[in-house]
Amino acid sequence: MNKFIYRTFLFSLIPLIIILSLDFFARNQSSLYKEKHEGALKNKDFIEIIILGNSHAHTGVDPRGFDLFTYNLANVAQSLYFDKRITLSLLPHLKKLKYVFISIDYHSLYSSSQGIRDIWSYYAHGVKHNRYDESKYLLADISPTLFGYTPKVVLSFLKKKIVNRLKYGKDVIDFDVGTGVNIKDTIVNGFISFDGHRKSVFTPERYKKRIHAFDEGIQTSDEKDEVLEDLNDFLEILLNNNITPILFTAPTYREYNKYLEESVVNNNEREIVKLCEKYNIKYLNFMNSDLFEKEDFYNADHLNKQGAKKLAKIMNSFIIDIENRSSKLQ
Amino acid sequence: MNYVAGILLSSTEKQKNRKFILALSCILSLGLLGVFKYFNFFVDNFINSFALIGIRLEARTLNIILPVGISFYTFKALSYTIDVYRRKLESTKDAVAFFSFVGFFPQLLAGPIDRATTLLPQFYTKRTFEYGKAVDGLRQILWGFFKKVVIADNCAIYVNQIFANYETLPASTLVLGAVYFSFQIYCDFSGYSDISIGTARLLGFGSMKNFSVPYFSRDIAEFWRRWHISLTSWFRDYLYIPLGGNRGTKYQVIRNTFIVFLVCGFWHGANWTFIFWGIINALYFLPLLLLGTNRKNLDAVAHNKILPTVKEVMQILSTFAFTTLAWIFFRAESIGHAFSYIGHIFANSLISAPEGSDPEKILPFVLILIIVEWAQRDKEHGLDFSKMNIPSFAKIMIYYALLTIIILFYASQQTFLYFQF
Repeated sequence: MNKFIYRTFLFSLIPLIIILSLDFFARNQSSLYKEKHEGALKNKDFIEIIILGNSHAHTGVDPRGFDLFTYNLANVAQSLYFDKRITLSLLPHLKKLKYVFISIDYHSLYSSSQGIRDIWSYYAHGVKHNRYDESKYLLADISPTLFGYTPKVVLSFLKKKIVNRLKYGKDVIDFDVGTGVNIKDTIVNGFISFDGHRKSVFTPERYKKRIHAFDEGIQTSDEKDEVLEDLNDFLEILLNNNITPILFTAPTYREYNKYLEESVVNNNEREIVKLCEKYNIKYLNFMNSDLFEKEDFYNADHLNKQGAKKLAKIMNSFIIDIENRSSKLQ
Repeated sequence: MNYVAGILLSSTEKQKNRKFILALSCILSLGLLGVFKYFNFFVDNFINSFALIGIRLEARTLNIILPVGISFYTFKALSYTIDVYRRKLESTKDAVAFFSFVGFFPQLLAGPIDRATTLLPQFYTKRTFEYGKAVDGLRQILWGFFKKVVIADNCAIYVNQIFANYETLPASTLVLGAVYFSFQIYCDFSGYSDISIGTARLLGFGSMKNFSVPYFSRDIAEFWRRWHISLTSWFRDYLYIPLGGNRGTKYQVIRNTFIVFLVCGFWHGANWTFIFWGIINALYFLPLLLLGTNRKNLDAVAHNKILPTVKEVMQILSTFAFTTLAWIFFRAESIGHAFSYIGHIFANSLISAPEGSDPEKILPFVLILIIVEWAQRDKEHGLDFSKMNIPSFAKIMIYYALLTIIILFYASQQTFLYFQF
């Protein structure tokens, strides 16, 4: 028995050391999520507008295009559930916050989870999803490698760190944006976006594949009512805090839009209009906007830097309009 | 119930009384199984049958939760009573031993359905720790985890997508979906069995082999000698042979075989898909019975050879294809769903790249499985290194490699398929 215990211990030692080292690395590793959170706290005394939503808003709205201090808190696959909780966790710090842009896209109303990324929001913002029990987060705290990010993700962190160090001589936080981002770019007010226009992905096959992935989630979703209820609650909280919520749908390429399920698009619009009427708030629908050309998109459903600047300017003029009207009233 | 039946059976020599005790014990055991597992099925079908002739009946179904593993421990307990009745086993008064046998935790949820004759006596004796057994148990557990969390769970993601959206997918994807389900169910169930047997071994208990490389079978009879061995041998010993087995006319043998497959299908669940799956397998068996070739391939394929012959490869592939076709009924939600799935395979073009989220990602693991199982086909499990001259360092490297694969490529948690039975 002693021999068995001794040998089992020896055998486990190497994996244990590797996992502990990876845990140490993962805990100290930055991510776009952590950068955004820390950046928001750093700028807490200036932020007047925040942008929420998924990757469409994350890469599609350049905060520098606004006259008021704007911070982009949107993130890849970020659901409305996390939009709300991230904002609420920062709300006590954001004393100057006046406007919150909430992006509602084709698939936003159908899921509260971000899948594997739920844990990323937990590590960065401390936001938990109620579909997991506390033990999940306890384990994620104990070992980010085994129970948090997953070993695969931590190893990809490590690989990227090594590659970036060797190639560029510095760490580059591009884990969540992936390819298409200029390595020289840095995150500014929570924003980083794609460089250029990826011609090869503007094909009907790609559009269909992308939409199919969304449709699968939409068809199997039973969360819509819950997501809407949560959004209602979020809007009420913002209004009660004298913050103006503005709903918007980010632009997607018009050829791509032809393949979207019409019933889903119409249904989304109906729900959004209902919300706007109920709370007397504005909705900016850029989905089929003629203001955006093919060259403004990195791929069919993500604006690039050029498009993000353009969209920010339009949103800014809308804010200026509101500001002017309110100053006239005063 | 079975415990008391065993004691009563040993206390009487009168054949009439013994028969009565056995019958009562079987009726009560199977009755409980029937209520929990099949009551709603019978009620629903009763109502539907009357609805066909225009009579609307209103009956209440039971809103009960199926106790997990009930089919497995009911059969274990039944084997005890029947073996005591047959005088193959002494009844026990040792309640701790009996209930430990029935509720033996590694086997409780999904078997193997170990016989009382082999497992129960192990609870009477004091077990001493054996280093070799414990290490081999751990190896088997490791191999089981590889099959379950790497292959079965990854296949499940792909299979679930395909079976849910088969109407819109090309035939090549549907074929791949069916093939992946064959690997999913095998790796899920045999993976569980490996974990279960390995755990028992770690604790010093011997357990029967439940799978013996079934997908290398050369005909369907061989497949059924290698698939879920503890269940198929249970049916052979406690149903097929009492029915007459191979004795009697060809008609009687065919009848017995059909009954066994029907019951086997029904054992898997209260759904017509399982019954149909059983019938299909019985039909596969039929030509072998008629030609008298059902006991042709009793030894392991390519025994003492490295590779199989071309003929053997063709036999293995055709058996796998037939089995995969039958698994479609096992996996489908209804018989209509299964037929529709098969219909779409033949309706659409087969010559197109399979769609889905990178189905080829699973292939390397399936290849590892096939290579290891082929190399180890006459061993107890994939990592059984007995009688092999492998240096310790190489073995340790194999364990680390498997552990790394498990940690890096495990799929999100999927419940064991056989827990539902």
